[in-house]
Amino acid sequence: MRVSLAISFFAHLSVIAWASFSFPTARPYEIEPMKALPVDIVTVAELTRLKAGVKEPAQEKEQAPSKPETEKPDTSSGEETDKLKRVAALPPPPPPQPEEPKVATPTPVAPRPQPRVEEPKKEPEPEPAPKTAEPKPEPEKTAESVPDKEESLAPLPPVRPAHAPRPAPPATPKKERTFDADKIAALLNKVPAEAEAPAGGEPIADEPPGAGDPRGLDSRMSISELDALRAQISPCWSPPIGVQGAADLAVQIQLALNVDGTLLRPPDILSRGSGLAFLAAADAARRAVLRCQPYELPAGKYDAWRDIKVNFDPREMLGG
Amino acid sequence: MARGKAGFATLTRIGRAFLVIAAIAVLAWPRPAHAVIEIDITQGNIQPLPVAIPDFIGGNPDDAQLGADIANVIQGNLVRSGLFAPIDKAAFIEKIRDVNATPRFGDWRIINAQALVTGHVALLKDGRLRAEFRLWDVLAGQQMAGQQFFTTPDNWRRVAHVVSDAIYQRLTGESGYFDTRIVFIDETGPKDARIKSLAIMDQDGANMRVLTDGGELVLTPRFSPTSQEITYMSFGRGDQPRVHLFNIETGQREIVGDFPGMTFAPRFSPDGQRVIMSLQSGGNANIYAMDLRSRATTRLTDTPAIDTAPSYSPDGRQVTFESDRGGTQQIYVMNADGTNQQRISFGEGIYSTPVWSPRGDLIAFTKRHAGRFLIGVLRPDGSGERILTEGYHNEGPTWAPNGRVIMFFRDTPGENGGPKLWSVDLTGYNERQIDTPHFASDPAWSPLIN
Repeated sequence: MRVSLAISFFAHLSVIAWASFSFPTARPYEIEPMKALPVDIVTVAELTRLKAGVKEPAQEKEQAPSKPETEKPDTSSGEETDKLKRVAALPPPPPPQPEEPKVATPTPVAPRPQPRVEEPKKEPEPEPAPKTAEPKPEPEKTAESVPDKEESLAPLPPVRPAHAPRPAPPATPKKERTFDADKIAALLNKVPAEAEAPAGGEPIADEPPGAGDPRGLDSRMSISELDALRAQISPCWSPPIGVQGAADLAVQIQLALNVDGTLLRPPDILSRGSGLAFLAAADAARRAVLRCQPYELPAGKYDAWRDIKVNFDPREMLGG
Repeated sequence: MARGKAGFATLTRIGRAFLVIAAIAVLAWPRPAHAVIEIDITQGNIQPLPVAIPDFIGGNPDDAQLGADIANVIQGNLVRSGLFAPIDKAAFIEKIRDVNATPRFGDWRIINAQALVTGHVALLKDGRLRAEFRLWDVLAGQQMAGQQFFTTPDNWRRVAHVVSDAIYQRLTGESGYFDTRIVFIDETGPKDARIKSLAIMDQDGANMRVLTDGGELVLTPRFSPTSQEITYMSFGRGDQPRVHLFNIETGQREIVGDFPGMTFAPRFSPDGQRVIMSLQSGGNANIYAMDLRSRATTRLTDTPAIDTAPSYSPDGRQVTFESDRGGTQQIYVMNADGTNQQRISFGEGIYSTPVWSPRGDLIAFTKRHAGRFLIGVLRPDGSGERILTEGYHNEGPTWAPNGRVIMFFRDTPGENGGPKLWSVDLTGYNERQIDTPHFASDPAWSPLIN
């Protein structure tokens, strides 16, 4: 007992002694300075709105006004996060092209120009693109800051592989090695031609309509188009306002539309309610959508307005 | 220890099974293929509903005439409500021949009808009248309502009113008010020697009958909510006001009692068991409730002011009345036992004759201010006062049984002028004069007859 105690004591003492001599003289860890990796959040929405190709994009629309934060249907943002998650699971991107690696720095910055270059293409489109508002200021900035820009089209952002059948645009900038500000315009013009090629390919089976749409149009409805639809339905709606509790008679209807704006089938009443007042309100809502068909809606965006949910709420009419 | 281990293993199995099921459920759960646009419509365009009412089909010429009459009565009812716009019969394209056949909705859509009423009448061999109708939704292409009635032939107007009520109820969500009667004071004679008789008519002005002979002054008739009985006040011999009870169906008359000092005719409670009235003594008037069976009276107010014109709420728990205890006549609300008397009107002017709506949400009143006579409504808590109409000597509002329309009477100035009955919708629109053969005042609206 004594012996073991003594051995333990001395062992502890020796360890402490060694520690007290060696610890202060230890080398501090060296941390190499890390290059800041600029990360650009590219939403799948931007990619799904890639156009097939307009040969002559309107150049004058390059500086787009700051697009207002528009309200999108809530479901679409939910869809996008789903898509984003799915995309993240895809295999890693292909290695960068051989002519690229002259300049080390552009590589991390590479993902950037994609959105920058795509901006001018999207601008001719009148639709709002809220998420593009953020990446836009930066690409403009970095275009000036990083000289060897044009071939950095080559490395694709990791999200790119979602559209695997599309041949990589890096095929383009084989010619230009030095940055020439004058030739930027020429370069920009080429990209749509490149993007045109994949448009002919088969659309991704599981992608929602709009991704690489061969028609080359963003199939999201603009605010003005939704307002136009509202203005078409409103005058036909005559709800029962004199009934007691009329302010609570909100009715939700689902419509399925044909391409020509007529109803494909009778509208479905999604709200549940009972009582004569609710029945009258549901009838008024149904009559409203039946009366005002056919609806004038942009034919090119049929996929966006194929199914519409309409919420009829008389609360405002009754003074809240 | 071993037991714990076994439990854990079991749990894992169950847990695994649960996870598998959950995974399958998540994967198999149907996902929407694409985003669905959702838009909100918050503004509409209130318009009277275009409805087509072709004549009811009849087998022989008599039936056909009856069918045309019924359709006209229905059309008149719907037009007067202000909520419907019947389409001219001359514009109809399809001729309805069979009430059981589906109409050609395209023909009705072209003339902009949104609803269609088809019907059939037949005088049966046993003397009864059979009538049936169907209400169609033209835009959706389906039937909305349909009913069949059996009655005596001279009751055909009531059939038309009941059909109108069914149409009104299905399309507006509120119960109708067409199968009702109005009791009022029919006034004849020169302005300084008016002969006032008690009269009753259908709400559209038809079937008018005079119930008293005009020998004594009759005032303020009121309908019982539960039975086809009227109370009214008459000043007979010796100027003693007397309350009468009159049964419309049997024609029986009964004297409820002599009430010396009565200032205002009794109103029934909603259950028909009590009447509420105002009795005057000395310089002030107070409100009393009387049980009709026991004839026991309870005093409800006890102030040195004039409290009069009481009216029960539809649930029978509250009473609204007019009182000048605050200086000018204003509207008050109290519990049915007389407690918690609160003033609810605070606007400028003199408020009188409060009447509680059968829907319970509003109280109608007469207001006099700066020489103007107004009929308005306000909520039982005193908020939301709205004036519906202004006119010469507007007075005496009475509610339709669905709480949507108010009838009152309005005078016309001059030597040959006299009161006439008018109605106005709750929204203040659709002010109409009711057609009566002579001058008329003091209307009271019956509940729905059936």
